[in-house]
Amino acid sequence: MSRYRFTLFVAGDTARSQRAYASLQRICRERLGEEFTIELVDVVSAPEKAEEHRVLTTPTVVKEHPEPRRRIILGPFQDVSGVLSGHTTFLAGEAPADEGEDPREE
Amino acid sequence: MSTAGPRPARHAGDERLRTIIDRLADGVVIVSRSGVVRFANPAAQRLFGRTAEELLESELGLPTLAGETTEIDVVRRGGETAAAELRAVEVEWEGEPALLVSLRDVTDRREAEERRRQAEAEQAARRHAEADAKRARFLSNVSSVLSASLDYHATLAMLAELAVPELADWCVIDVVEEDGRIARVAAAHADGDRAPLLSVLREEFPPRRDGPTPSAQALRTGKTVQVARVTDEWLAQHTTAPEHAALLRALGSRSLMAVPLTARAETLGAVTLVCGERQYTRNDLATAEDFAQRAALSVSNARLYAAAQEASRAKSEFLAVMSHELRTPLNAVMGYADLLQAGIAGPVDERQRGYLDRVKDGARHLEGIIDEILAFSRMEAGYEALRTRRVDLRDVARQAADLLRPLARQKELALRLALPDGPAVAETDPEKVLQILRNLGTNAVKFTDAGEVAIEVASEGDRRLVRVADTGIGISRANQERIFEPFWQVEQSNRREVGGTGLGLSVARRTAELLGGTLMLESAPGRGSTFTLSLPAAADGDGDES
Repeated sequence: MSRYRFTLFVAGDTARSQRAYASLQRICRERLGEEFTIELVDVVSAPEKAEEHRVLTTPTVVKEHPEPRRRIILGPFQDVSGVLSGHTTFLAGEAPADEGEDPREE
Repeated sequence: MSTAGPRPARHAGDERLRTIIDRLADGVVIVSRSGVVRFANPAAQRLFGRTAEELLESELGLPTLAGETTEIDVVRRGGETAAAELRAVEVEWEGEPALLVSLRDVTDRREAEERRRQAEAEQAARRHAEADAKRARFLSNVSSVLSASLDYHATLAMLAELAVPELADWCVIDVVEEDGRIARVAAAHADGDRAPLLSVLREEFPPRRDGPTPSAQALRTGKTVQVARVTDEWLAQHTTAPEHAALLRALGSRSLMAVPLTARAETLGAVTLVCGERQYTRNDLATAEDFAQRAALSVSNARLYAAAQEASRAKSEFLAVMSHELRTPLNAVMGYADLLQAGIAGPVDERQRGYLDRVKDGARHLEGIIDEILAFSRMEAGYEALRTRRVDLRDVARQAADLLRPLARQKELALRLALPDGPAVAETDPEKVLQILRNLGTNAVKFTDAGEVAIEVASEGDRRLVRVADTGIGISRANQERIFEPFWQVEQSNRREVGGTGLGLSVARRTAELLGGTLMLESAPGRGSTFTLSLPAAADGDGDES
C-alpha cells in the first residue's frame, strides 16, 4: 500500500481533466517520489461517486491517506506553486519544510 | 493579503449588505480553512443545484491559490456540470480565518468559446480542403495539357501559363535540346505588364549549363533548388551581372524554386518558379515537383515518339520506293510481252510465243517474290492491318484449292479437298488465311514429285484447323523449326532450282500469329509434310453463316 493515496475527481475526458491528472502526478512525483497512488474518478460517467463523496466542483483532489483527509480544488496548473507552497500540509500531512521557496525555479 | 470584496454580514445592521449578497448574480460561498462550507448565497445554491442546508457543512475543498481566478466545473446534483469562474479571497468569518469564494457561471461563455473554436477549426479545415482541391485541379489541368499534344515546346509553353498565378508569379522553363544546347522554351508572368521583361531576360541573359542561376544548378545536379528568401546578397551571387539582378528584382523575386525536369533517369531541363510576394512552403514544393515530373515525362515521351516516328517514316518510305521501283520495270516487261504476243508489233511465230511465255512466267515469278518481300517488310514494320470477320474456313479452303489446282495439274499431282459437313467458323481475316494456304500449297506442290497435296478443314474444341499435307520429300526434325526462319531453305545449295525467297513460311507463321493462331509442322524425311494452321473459333461457335 502506498504511503499517500489520492482521489482525483474530474468532469469528462477533457483537456482540462487530462491536464489536472498530469499535473497532480507531477507534483506528487516531485514531492513524494514513488510513494503515492492516484485514483481517477470521472463524475460524468460515475455521478453516484460524486454524490457519495459530495464533490461540488472539479477538478478536486481528495487526500484519502494518511489522515487527516483533505480536499482541494485544483486550479490552472501553471499555478502549481499554489498547491505546493500553500498546501504542502495538505499533500504531505505535515508541516511544510521549505515554505516560501518558489518551486517554479526548479 | 486581500480583504477586498463584500464582508458578509454579522450584525443586524449589516442587513443591507446581506440583501446585496442575496441578490448577487454570482454565487458566494464562505469556506473554513479546512474547506467546509459555512455560508452559501442563493446564487450559489442555484449554481450547485442544492439547498443551503445541503451545502452547509459540506466539504467544498480549498482553492489552490487565494486571490486568483480559475475556471472549474461545478458538479450539480445528479452529476450534471456547469462551467464556473472561481475567485477566492481571505476573510474573517465569525472570528475565524476563512475564504470567501465567488463563483460566476460561465457555461454560456465557455459554450460560445467552444463554438468559436469549432468554427475556427472548421474554417481551417475548409481552407485546407480548398487548397487541396485547388492543387488537384491544377495538376489535373496539367495532365490534360500534357495529353493534348506531343509537341513538347507548345506543351511546356501552356504549362508555364498554367503555373502562373497558380504556383508562381512568374515561371520559366529551360530544356536541354537534343544538340545539348539549353533553350528557354517557355516563360510566363502573372502580371502582363511585366511579361516583356522575361523576353529581355532571355535575350540578355540566356540560360547556360555552367551559369550561376538556380535553373542551371538544377540542370547540372538534377536536384531541386529552393530559395526561401531571395536577398540582395543571394542575387549578387546567382546572377551574371548587376543588370541581371536588377532584372530579377523588377520581375518580382522574393522566394523561388528551381525543379529539374527528370524522366527516365535523364535531366531534360528545369522549371523555375518565382513568387514576388509570399514565401514558398513545403506544400508548394511538393506541387512543383509533381508538376515538374509530369512535364518531364511529357518531354521524354514526345522525344521518344518523334524518334520512333522518324524511324518508322524512313521505313515506310523505303517500302514505297521499293515497291514502285521494282514493280514499274516489271509491269513494262509483262505489258510489252503481252503486246508482242497479241501480234500488235507484227506476226509472232510459235517459237517466239513460247519464249514470250517464258518471259511472262519469269516476270510473274519475280512479282511473287517482290510481293513476299513487301509482305515480310510490312509485317516487320508492324503495318499489317487485319480485316477480320466471321468466316467459314471451308470457303477459304475451296478458294485455295481453286488457286492451286493448275499448279498441281502441271506436276500431275492430285489435289484433295477434305471438308467437314458443318461450317467451321472463325473470326479472322480471310485474305490472310488464303495467303497462308496459298503459300503452304505452293510449297507442297513445289516439294512433291508424286502423290497428292491435300487441304483439310477440321474443328477441335475451340480451335479451327486447316491442314495442308503432301506426300513429298519431307523435312528432317533438325530442320523443322529452321524452315520458319526468314531466308532459310532446306538444302539451300542443291535445291536452288525450286526457287523462292525463303520468306514464305516465315511470313506465313507470322501471319498466323497475327491472327491469334499457330502454324505447326509434322514431317519426316520421305514421308511427306503436314502443316497445320490452328485458329481460334468465333466467340459464339459455329452458327450458320448469315
